[in-house]
Parts: sequence; C-alpha cells; structure tokens
Amino acid sequence: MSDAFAGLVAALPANLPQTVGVWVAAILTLAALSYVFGDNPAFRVAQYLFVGVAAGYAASLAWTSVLWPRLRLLLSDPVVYWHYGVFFVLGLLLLARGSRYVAPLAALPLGVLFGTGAALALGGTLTGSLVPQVRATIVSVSPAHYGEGLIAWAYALDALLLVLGTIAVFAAFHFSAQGRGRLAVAGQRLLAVFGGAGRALIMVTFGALLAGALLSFFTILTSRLAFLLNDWLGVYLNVGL
Amino acid sequence: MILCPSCSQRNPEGAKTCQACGEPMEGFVYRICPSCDAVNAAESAFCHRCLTPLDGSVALDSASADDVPVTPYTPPSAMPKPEARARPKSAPASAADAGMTPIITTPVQRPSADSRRAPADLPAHLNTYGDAASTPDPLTLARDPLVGLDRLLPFEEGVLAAQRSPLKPARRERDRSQEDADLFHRVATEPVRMGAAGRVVVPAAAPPLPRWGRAALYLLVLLAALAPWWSGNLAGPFVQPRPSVMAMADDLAAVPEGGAALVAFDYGPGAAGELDPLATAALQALAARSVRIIALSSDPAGLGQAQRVLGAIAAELPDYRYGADYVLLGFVPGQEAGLRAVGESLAGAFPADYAQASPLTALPAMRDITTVRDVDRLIVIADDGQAPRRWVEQVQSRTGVGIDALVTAAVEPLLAPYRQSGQLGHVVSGATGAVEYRRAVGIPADARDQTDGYAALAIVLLGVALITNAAEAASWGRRVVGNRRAQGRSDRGR
Repeated sequence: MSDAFAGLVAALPANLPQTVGVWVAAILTLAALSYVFGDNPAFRVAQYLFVGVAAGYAASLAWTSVLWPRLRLLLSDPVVYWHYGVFFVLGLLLLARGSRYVAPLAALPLGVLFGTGAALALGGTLTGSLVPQVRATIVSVSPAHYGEGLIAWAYALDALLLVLGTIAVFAAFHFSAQGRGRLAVAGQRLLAVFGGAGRALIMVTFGALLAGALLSFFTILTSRLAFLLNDWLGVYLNVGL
Repeated sequence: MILCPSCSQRNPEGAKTCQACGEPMEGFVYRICPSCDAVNAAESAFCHRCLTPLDGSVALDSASADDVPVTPYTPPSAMPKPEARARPKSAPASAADAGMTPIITTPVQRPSADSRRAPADLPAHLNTYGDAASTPDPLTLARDPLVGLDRLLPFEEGVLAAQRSPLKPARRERDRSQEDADLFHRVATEPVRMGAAGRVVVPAAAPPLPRWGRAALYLLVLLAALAPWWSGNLAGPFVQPRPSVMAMADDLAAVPEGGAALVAFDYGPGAAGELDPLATAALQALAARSVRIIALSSDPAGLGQAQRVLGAIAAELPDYRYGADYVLLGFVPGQEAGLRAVGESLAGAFPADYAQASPLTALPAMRDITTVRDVDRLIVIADDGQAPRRWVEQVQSRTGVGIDALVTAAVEPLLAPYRQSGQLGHVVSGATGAVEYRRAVGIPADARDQTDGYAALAIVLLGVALITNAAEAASWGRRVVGNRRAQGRSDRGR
C-alpha cells in the first residue's frame, strides 16, 4: 500500500504543489472579488477560510518560533536559561483562568503582562512621540536662522505655517462657554477663526489619508489582477517598452 | 413607615400590600423616620439623622400605624414644585387650598423622651457620637449639621421630592434570567439568510450613485487597473524619482560593502502587492553590494513576506546565501516589550534564527552584530502606522539609531510628523515609490511598474469628480430656476 502510494506520488509532476497553490489562490481571489456583486456564499467561504487559516498560522508560529526554541534552551541548560522557566510558569498560570477555582492564580501573569506593556507603551510614547513632537513644533520663524536669500525666507515661511497650523488645529478642539465682555468676545472670535482654519487643515489631512488609502487599495487590486493574468492564466501581455 | 416601591405611598411598618395601589410591598427600598421624616434605607435600624429606631417600636404620638392616612398615587408631573412647598410662609394654608394633592400628610414628629432608646440599647458605634444618657435632647446626639434646620432650608423638599417619585419596581432575578434565556433562544434559533446581516446593519440610505452609475464606475476602475496590459507603458518613462527617494537611495548606496542592515518586515500578504516591489527594489540594491541583510518581523504574517522577498533576491544573486549573507531571525512577540528587547540585545530576543534554528553566534551573517547599534541601516517595512511608531518609540528614542520606513501610501501621511522631527530618516511609500526607487538606482522602466494603471486611475477619478460636480451644479441650477418660475407664477396670480 505504501509502495503504491509512494509510486503515485513519484509519478506526480514535480511542480504539482505550486500548481495546486496557484489554483487555490486564484479561486480564493475570485471569491473575494465576487463581493463586487454583493454578499454571497463564495465570498463568505473565502472570508472564513482566511480567518481560520490566519488563526492556525499564528498558533503554529507561536509554537515553532517563540515557545519551542526557548523550551529547548531551557531543557538543554537549565542553569543558564533558568529565566525561561519563570516565563513558562507565568504562561502556565494563565491557563488557570479556565477553571473557576484556580482563576485567581492568573492574576499574576496578567498583572505582569499588562503592567509591563502599559509601562513600556507610556514611557515610549512620552520619550518617543510626545516630547519630540512638541519639541519639533518649537521652531524659529526668523529668516536669519535659516541662512540668506530667498530660500531662508521660504524656510521661515514653512516654519511659520507649521506653528500657525499647530495652533489652528489646537483651536479647532477648543470648546468653552460664550464669555461676556469685549475681551472675551474678541477672544472667542479669534478662536473661531483659528478653529475654522484648523478644521480645514484637518480636512486636508483626512483627504491625504483617503487618497493614500485609495492608492493602496488600487495597488492591491492591480496586484491580484496581475496574479490572475500572469500566474494563473499564464497570459502575460507585457508589451515591454 | 415604609415606602411603596411602586407608587411611593407611605405604608405602616409590616404592611404586606400598599394601601394606595395594592402592590405587594416586597423589596421596598426606603423607610421614613416617624420623628424627623428623613428618608432612610430599608435595612436601616436607626434614622441617620435623629437616631430614632426605625423598626416600628416607636409609636406615633398623633396617629397609630393603622391611622396613617392613605394618599392616592400622584404622578411626578402633578407634584407641586419644590419651591412652592419649600416656603411654607408664602404657600397656601393647606395643600387642599392650593388645589394640590397632599403628599405629606403625616405630621412631623419629634422624638419624645420615651421614644428614644436608652444608650445601653444603642450599638456601640452610635454611642460614640455622644453621651445619650447625659443629653436629654436626641438631636444633639447626631452631629449632623442639618439637625434642627428641618423645614427651614429651602432645598430639603426638593431633595426629598425626587425620592418620593414613583419608583420603578425592580425586576425579579428569575424574570430577568428568563428574559435573557428567551432572548438567547430567539437569537440562536432565528433563521438568517445569507447577506441578511449586512442588509440589517447597513442603513438603507439613498445610494450616491444609481445602479448603472456604480456599474460604470466599477468598469472604469477595472479598465484602469488593467491599463498596463493594454496601454503599452505610456506613463513609465515620465516617472522621475523625488528628492526624498533619491536621498534614500544615496544613503543606502553609502552602506559599505560587507556592512549590515536590519530589516523589519512588518506587513502581511494584504499589502504584499504594494510593498513587495518596494522592499525588493531597496534590498536588491543592498544585496548586490554584499551588504548583509538581517530580517525579522513583529507581525506574524511578516515572516512569509520576508521569506518570499529574500528568496527572490537570492534567486537572482546566486552568491548571496542564507546564513552567510542574509538571515531571518524570526518573529518577535510582545509589540512594545519585544521591540525593547530587540533594541537591547538581538541574541536575547532571538535564541535562534527562524529557518535553521541555529544560535545567532553560529551564523556568519551575524558576526560583530549583537545589538541594533551594530548595523549600518535599520529599515522598517510596514503596512500600518503603528509599527514604525513603535520602532521609533522603543528603539530609536533609546538607541539613537536612524530608521528608514518603506510603507504603504495610506500610511505615509501618518509618518510625516516623525520625518519632519528627524526621528525617521527617509520615508518612501507605495508602488509608485518602488517605481521611483528603481529609477533612482538605474533600473529602466517596465510594464510591470503599473504606472499606466495609476495614470488611468487618476484620469478616471478626475473625470468622475468633474462629471458628478457638473451634474450636481446642473441640478442646483434647475432647482433655482424652478423656484424662480414658481415664485413668478405666484406673484402673477396675486
């Protein structure tokens, strides 16, 4: 039986796995593109397959690339790699959440997980984003700071626009009650003007994001069409300039 | 005295049913002090204000429990305003005179000396408020600053009025469980046809385009996407690299032969069509000069992209071998924590490489490299803005290593602030960025660049914008003209 199976496998073309893979990918691509005609069973099958395969791949990767290499080190030399044992114990404690009686044991690894993650995220945001970004908006608007000539004025204008744009966007998110008195009314009007400019800048930003997303989706479409035409149908119509 | 949970009617202690609405008195939540008329929780044994026992042991001076007058249920809208009842001097002599339904008919009773419990009967914690035996007036036992000011402060009635409003009877736990079970059964057994969920969730708004318009738009976009196959690469020769792309190409060309670049493949298959050409163009130029490429991924799906791109490069450069010239370290989990570990020690983050499971010290490509500070360039290829931001926050801000980003077109605007502040070195985006990069490193135009597709898409979008705006303007003009004509006919009719 096994000889017959081995013979059958040997008789198959060498590139059969690639061929099957291309056919599966092509059928799933067509199923995904069928959504242009509305929701349908083919699209749903492709969608569920994608979710299931992605979950299985992530689980497999977690074992082969994360857990097993460290477990092998721990088993080979526990004295040197004892800290991996601590991590494995913490990981096993997470499984305690499955039982109501020992669920509190999972609080320790969860605390370590969320505490470490929150601390690193907060610290990184402060030192890597907030402070540098605030510092980047403190720029000189003097042309003398950028050299001489027209280019210095251009840089100064760019810096001025950066500062005014930052203030305008901040003003767009300013909400307060209507004040009384001339000074308060004047301040409110000034904030309204800056807020309007800030909203316009935000719209420009959203427009840039939308245009970028459109280009990305269009590129994905062209890449899938290229796959269907080149790899699946084998019809490459490159006129080749 | 207890309050009916249904109509807020006052009922005597021990009442089984409400004397006004007849509802059962189970689960009543308020108990009225017979002395000071303060509202207490149902489980209170003593009044929180005057310490009078609330368990019914105190007999009313003027009326027994059976003699408590019954007042009909009064809805909140019919209740008198608090201000009117808070000023007894200016109010009518009685509620009946004012035409209102009397709400409080029980006279306010002050605790007599007999009605108070002896200090020995009080709990120990209540005796700490004062020596009840030596203080004849029970009001002095309580340190409540409102004691003695009853009916003088204008807001007490207003506060109590809300509590006297009809209370919604609490649902029984059994009923709630039964309702949940019924709802779950209905949801679980309800037959749902394919696509029904989408029709329910998406509101039935008027489509921006008619059916034929959408079909025409789909067809135009499809034709634009297929433009490279029928146009003959008309736009390709006109593409010129931008200065930012030229600067990145120059910096990568400055990496010495035998140097090293750490490359993070943080994108999945969905962005492969856009980022694979960009990654191939940038890394192929490095590999051609024998620059070592050390790849890793903080996205589980990125390992497959790394294998495919590096495999394609190695296939074109036979002397560029795994282990000696390039290596795939693997997937780094933990997001911020994982990248922090990578920033501190590569060997600590990766016990072995992904493809051969060899220790990093055994790989020739990893010679003299222990941290990210030892590499010449750090390139992040990502399909979202979070990955480059994490690299900047966890690695660049701590090590000072410059980071270049190859991203999708949708992500580039999000990274502009980091590039402006100098935290990111170069940012090149999209398939058009790949075309520009290939021009920058001297690769000639090719139909596979898809530049004609982008040009056709731009023409389609421009045409659609012009046509729809013109149609909207024409529609607006017709409305204005129609309104004027109608106005004119109306004026002539007068």
